[in-house]
Amino acid sequence: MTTHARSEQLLAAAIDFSLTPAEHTEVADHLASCPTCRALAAAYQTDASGLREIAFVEPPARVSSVVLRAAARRPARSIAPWQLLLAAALLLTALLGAAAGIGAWNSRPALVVVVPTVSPSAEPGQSPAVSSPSAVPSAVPSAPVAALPTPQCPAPPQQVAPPVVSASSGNGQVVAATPGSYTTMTCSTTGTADAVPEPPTESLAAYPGDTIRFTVPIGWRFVRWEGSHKPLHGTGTGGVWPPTDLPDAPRSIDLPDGPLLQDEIVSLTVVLVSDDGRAVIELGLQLEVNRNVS
Amino acid sequence: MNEIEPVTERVRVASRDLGTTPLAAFITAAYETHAAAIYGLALRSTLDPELAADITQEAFLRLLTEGQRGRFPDNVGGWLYRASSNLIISGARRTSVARRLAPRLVARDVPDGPEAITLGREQHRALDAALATLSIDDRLALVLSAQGASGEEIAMHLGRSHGATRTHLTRARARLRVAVQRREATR
Repeated sequence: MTTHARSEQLLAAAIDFSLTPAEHTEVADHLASCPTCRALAAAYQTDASGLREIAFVEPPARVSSVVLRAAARRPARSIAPWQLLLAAALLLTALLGAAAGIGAWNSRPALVVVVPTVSPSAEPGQSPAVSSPSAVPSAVPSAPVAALPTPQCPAPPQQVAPPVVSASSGNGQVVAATPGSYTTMTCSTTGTADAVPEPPTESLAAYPGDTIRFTVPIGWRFVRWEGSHKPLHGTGTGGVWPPTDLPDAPRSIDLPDGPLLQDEIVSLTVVLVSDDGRAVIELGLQLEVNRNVS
Repeated sequence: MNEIEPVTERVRVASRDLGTTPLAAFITAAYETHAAAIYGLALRSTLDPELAADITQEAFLRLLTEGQRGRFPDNVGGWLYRASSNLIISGARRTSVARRLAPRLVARDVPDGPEAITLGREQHRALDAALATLSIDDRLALVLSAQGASGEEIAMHLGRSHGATRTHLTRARARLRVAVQRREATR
């Protein structure tokens, strides 16, 4: 004797799974004598077909714009030894510049983040991965970054890809930094550390008064940012945004309202932390603000 | 012993000298084929257009990262389903925290209005509303099924056993039915 409950269960299961011959017979016999369960069977089918009709949805345009533009980028180049040295030198310049309050727009965004760790004695299995290029560590003072939240290093052997950072205004969205482009990762046993000599500059259309917002994907948060803006052509002083710590660790930051002019280049240096705290990366972003929008 | 020591590990991406074009073509093809499925899955599961867009974007960017490392999944759809299911489940756990942390940052990215989310038709609204009463796990499994995944495939995408998936889906359908009925009764 098949109960309603049992039949109900089999009817629902039959939508996704093939019933055994015995189950099939059981439910068929029950349906023959039970109008309630016949109605239920039809209702399950109606639900399933209704779900099929709402299951596929085209994503908003911003998603395809970010994904397809990220895909169209040239692959990141590998680092030559001279680039490492250059990176170290630039970092030093940037750090000194920042310390002196000069602002760092003339230098490329710093290419190395040094994350202090309190566990220098890595477990035996993990230590071989910690082979750093000799030129870099000695050139890097650790004090300026000591205020970062300390991630739990060394990370488990898991690859962490640097996130895409996108920038948006009222008039669109562009990729401001792509995985593999002049990003440096620390604190993961395998990370990407590719450098692109000329930071790609994206042009973002923004009317006066538009907020320019930078966003990182799920899994990452901003913990610090600083930057500057400077005219691309002609004269002008531009301006500097001093380093700002973000205790709330948001997933997006808005540039402060201010006089951003036609064709200004916005350079930001942001520090991101992964949600699990295992990876901290610093990214340099550049945007050209285009007011020539009609 | 406990002194602060800088860790600077630099491991380069093992890039297989793939030109931009094949990779871009691969991602474009994957996007055209699967974007509506992944976004639909994320949207119907999370009920949050903004989060669903982020999840979709992230799933494809992870695929791009795979490609940049010279790894191309044989079953791109399955790979994307798995990646986005994980993001949906972990994202859901995190959303409440993110919402709490960043309430002031939601101003600009205005999500699409409800008209764009639900199909206009009345029964779809009823179904949407009924779905909203279920758990995110229920919705995820039901939408995977609605997109054509078999019970075995759903079990694979969600990393569960066949038996557990069958029980789960069976109960989810029963709960959905009750929710739809309740809505019909109160109309």
